[in-house]
Amino acid sequence: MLKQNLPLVVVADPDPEYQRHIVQSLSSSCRCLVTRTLRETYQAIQSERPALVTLELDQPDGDGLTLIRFLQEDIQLRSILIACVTRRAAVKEKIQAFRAGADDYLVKPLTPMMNFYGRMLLLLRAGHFARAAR
Amino acid sequence: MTAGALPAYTVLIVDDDPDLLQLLTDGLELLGNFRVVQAADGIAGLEQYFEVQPDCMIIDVKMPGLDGYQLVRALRGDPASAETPLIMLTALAQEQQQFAGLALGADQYLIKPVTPRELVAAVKRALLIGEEDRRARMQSLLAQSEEAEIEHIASHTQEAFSEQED
Repeated sequence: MLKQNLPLVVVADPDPEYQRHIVQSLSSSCRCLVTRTLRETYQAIQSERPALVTLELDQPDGDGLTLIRFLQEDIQLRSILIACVTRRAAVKEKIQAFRAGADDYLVKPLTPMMNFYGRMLLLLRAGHFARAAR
Repeated sequence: MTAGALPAYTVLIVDDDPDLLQLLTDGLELLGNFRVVQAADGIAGLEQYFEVQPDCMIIDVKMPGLDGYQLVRALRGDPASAETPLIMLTALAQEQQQFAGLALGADQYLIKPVTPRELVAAVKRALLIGEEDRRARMQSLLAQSEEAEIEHIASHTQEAFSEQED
């Protein structure tokens, strides 16, 4: 398959270690674009229209929840799938993220048991079914 | 515990239909000898999980607050809850919806109506599922979803954007 035909994933994480880890995990099946701030992420989403955003909620210039809500209010951007990949583990954070419009929520550290690659691939393939079923 | 009986496993059951919740609770307690904890919606289910630490969870799909898909994702996405056996119980019988439920991490997907006896059997099966079984299932699901599908996602996404912009 041509690389340009692979789905684009924006990897929005200020932590270089996680940037590398996520990009390496997905690189065989997706194109990845790394962003380090909410502002950069929003700009990348607007210009590149990715299929999926993996989002650390703790961003240097604000709260990732704000971005999720912003995307959901935008008719042109709300179809983008959002997977929170974050160090925030509290139940209330998970509830807030899903209610804001997140499609998935993974708590760091990403363990082998969580099968990040398979999970993201299946999210890309089945995420819209799950949305439609709601 | 009497010889041959199951230990008192705890099952957390999440459903927004109070009558069905009670019916299934009674069945699980009487026929399965399980300790059952109830939650009335997805948010309560997620909160209860960390209080109860159940051995198995039964989750309805259509619920207010968090739906069943979101609840499964929240549980499977946290190392603290990722290993718990999860059974989805739903009236949604379409193949795509079943695929979505299993793809998100449910161990079984049961279609309503389900008898208490069937549910007890499902819980017993779920308690035996190990991580190797889950990995094998995910590989199988990945193989099932046609390779071509992922190739079309990028173009499909672009088409969706184009339609919205028209």
